[in-house]
Amino acid sequence: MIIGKKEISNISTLAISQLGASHQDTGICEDSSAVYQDSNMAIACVADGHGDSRCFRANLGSKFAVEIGIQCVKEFVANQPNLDFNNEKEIDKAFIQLKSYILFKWLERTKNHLLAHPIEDREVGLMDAEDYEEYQREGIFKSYPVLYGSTFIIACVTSGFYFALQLGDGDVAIDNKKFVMPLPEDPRCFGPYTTSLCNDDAIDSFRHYYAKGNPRAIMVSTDGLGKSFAEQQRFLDLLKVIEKNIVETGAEGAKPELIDFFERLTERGSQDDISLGAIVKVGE
Amino acid sequence: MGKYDNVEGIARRTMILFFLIDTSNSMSGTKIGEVNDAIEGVIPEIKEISSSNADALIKIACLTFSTGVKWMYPNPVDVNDFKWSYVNAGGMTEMGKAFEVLNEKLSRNEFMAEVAGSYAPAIFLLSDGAPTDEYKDAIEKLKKNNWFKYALKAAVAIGDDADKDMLATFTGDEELVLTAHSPEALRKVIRFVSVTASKIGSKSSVSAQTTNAKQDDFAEQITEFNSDLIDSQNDNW
Repeated sequence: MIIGKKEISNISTLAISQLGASHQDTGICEDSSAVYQDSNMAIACVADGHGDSRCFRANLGSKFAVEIGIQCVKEFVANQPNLDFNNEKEIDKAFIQLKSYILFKWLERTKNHLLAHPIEDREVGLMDAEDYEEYQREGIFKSYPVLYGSTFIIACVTSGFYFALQLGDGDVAIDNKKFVMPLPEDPRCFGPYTTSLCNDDAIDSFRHYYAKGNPRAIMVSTDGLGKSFAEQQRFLDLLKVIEKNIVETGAEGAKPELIDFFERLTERGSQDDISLGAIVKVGE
Repeated sequence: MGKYDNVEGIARRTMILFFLIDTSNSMSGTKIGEVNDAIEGVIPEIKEISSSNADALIKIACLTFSTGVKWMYPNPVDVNDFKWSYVNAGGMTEMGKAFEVLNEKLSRNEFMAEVAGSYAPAIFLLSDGAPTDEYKDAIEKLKKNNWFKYALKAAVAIGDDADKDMLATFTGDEELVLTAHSPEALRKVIRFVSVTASKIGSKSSVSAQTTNAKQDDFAEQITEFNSDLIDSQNDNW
């Protein structure tokens, strides 16, 4: 199996980020989401900037994460037309490179952003004193990524092959007759805690999954969606309804009602921002 | 009819605020009266936190200990439905027993069973004396409980007879033991700790690399509050 050579068709993609009920006071949605689609691939990406007070630029961190994720995966698929997906060692090596590239680009982007947009007076009080001293001295400081801390999830479908990468909490669900969540759990994502792009050991915190074939749907979502449900099966039931609506009305047709529903869901459920990225097969 | 009208099973994550209250005989009179008034008085503020800006629904569980232990309600109660039931003082100080039953309830099979997710709890211990039962084994077991490890913990020593060393063993940090020398101070402490724990405990946090960020934040706020409290107190029990 070779990626990036054959065309894909009958795929619909959708991305939504809904402001959480608990963020109504600030009006700042810390989640970001995006999709990309061309004749060779479909990509969906979501990221959840942390609510921690030290992560005061987390909304930007998540925005950078989805922009970089889409760009890196596009290049990954386009630049590796001869990658053999029957060769496990080769694939694992390629995924390590992809993860490193995404992380490198995110760190580079956040660093450049900080250098171009210095800490504002209103932000100073949110920083550790040591960091601020270092920042005043150097114009940058070692733990600057925490300002932009975010989770990251991306999924990609090509002709006959698909994969997903995840760092931090949130969910990846894949429909092959029924929705399952195939990525291994990360025990460090506990209660309100999550691993993050800003962690020193972020590269080791990525999880990935790949398989041959064409799923009916892949959905990636931030934890605000999954944690709005008392049972995982209820969450997966919702994804099935969303998939059905996209199949019936197309992504654009399904979007308004879904946005309206997410607005109500965050109120009754997690209160957190909710993001969904969907890749759905809409015909044979 | 909307396409999502029949979606079922929607729920919020939960953070439980535990009050562990010494109701032994020495607490009789003003002390227990202040505890009752202060906790009842702070409930509306916690309701406000829970409904306005928390990432988690706040529930309250209250355990009293004297000669034996008693939960105010069999399960944690949504703060919006919570009604404070006045507690009376009398009997011994079986704090070891309280630690034992708290340990039992800090389990996915008991109070932490919310499928949508439970945040690490906040636990607030109030006492004016020392345990009259064997408590060391119980507290050692409790300290191995993961929910307890991640919990925001604070204790208030009501007057100078409280066993502050033991309270510090419970909180894991002597800075998290506050001393109330007067009814007014006790009321302030109960309000401050309850509100701060509810605010910090119910918010999501950054990363497993800094799992104790909330505990650090909590400790910092409590320490600052305590230094102001010490400066302003006269012994008045």
